Amino acid sequence: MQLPFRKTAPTRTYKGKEYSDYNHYKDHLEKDFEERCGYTNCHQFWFGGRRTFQIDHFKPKVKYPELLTKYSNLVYSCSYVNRAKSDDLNEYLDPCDTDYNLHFYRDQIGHIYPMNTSDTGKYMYKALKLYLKRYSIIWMLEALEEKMDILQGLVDQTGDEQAKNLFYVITTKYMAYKKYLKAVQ
Amino acid sequence: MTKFTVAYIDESESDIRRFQRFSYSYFNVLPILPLPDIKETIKLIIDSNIDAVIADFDLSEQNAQIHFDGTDLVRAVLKKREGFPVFILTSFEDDAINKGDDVNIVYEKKELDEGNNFLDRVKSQIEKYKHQLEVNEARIIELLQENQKRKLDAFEKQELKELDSKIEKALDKESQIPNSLRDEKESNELAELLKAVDQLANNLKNKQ
Repeated sequence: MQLPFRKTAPTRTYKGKEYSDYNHYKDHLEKDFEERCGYTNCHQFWFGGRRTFQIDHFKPKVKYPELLTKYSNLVYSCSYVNRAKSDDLNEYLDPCDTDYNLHFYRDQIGHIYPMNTSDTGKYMYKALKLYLKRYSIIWMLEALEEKMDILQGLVDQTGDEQAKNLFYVITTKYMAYKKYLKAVQ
Repeated sequence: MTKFTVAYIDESESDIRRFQRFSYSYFNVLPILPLPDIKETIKLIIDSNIDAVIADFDLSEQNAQIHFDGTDLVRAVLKKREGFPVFILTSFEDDAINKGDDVNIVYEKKELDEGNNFLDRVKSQIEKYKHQLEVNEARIIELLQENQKRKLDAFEKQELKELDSKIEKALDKESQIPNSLRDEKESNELAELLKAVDQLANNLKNKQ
């Protein structure tokens, strides 16, 4: 079964002045990308927070120096894809301008795959190493969070014993992962 | 052919210019002057798109504000990116070797005056590093494709986990996921939990 790669797409809303140092856009990018990596959709929380996130130049600054400080060329990204992408001049899909769900999907445990119909998706899958297990784990942890909310609602509405037990099991599991992942960061 | 880009860290601007002249035909050189704060210097290096790091050993010789040396920098880079090509140039080889963890990354600055051996070594180390990454990547993709067609055997599963960890550590060792989370059993357990919630939600919905 193919699940959507992401639920919402980031939008670049910043319309202010152009900074001479692109690092000054980090607050705006963080907000516009909802604290998520534009390419993997992973939340920065699971990487140790904002300090580990970087600013990617969608069109590499080495080839397009005129776009160095243009907000429209910046992508909030995790260190993994930013380093993997480096100064690659090949074609990529802009996370704000393109519907990534037409190019990527997830399996039931959150692994990312490129759509068979998307050559650029296939290229990005390899170049950005979107196959790494970490993206599946992070997707599942976010799914656990959502399920906790659903269960909480069910418990409140029905008082069902099974829902209470499952809520306890899931919350315990989630907290253990959270602690485990924070411990290595 | 695309030239590799190397970061060259030295507090002496004349030595930076000298290195740029010396390696012009081999590499694009990204000169980095060390900042008083080692963390900021490391950030400059790590955030740059480079293929190797070459650092002068004694960074305080002409700048008394610097309280760290080249070995501190390359150690920090390796802490973030496992196996990344790093080199130290020194006029005092023994000092650097005593402090550095790996004698194979320390070279005397005088080698720069004795031909291109040092540059050849850097280039070859970058190529070797990139080649290994490519080999690892080709194999992991092969295993992932197989995994979609059939059940991998125990050896293949182990290999898949190890490759995933290696590739992850090469990009960022600091935020890597614990190895136990790469385990298929762990993923399946999580998936079962997610499924159980959906089923329960449906059942309760149908009861209402």
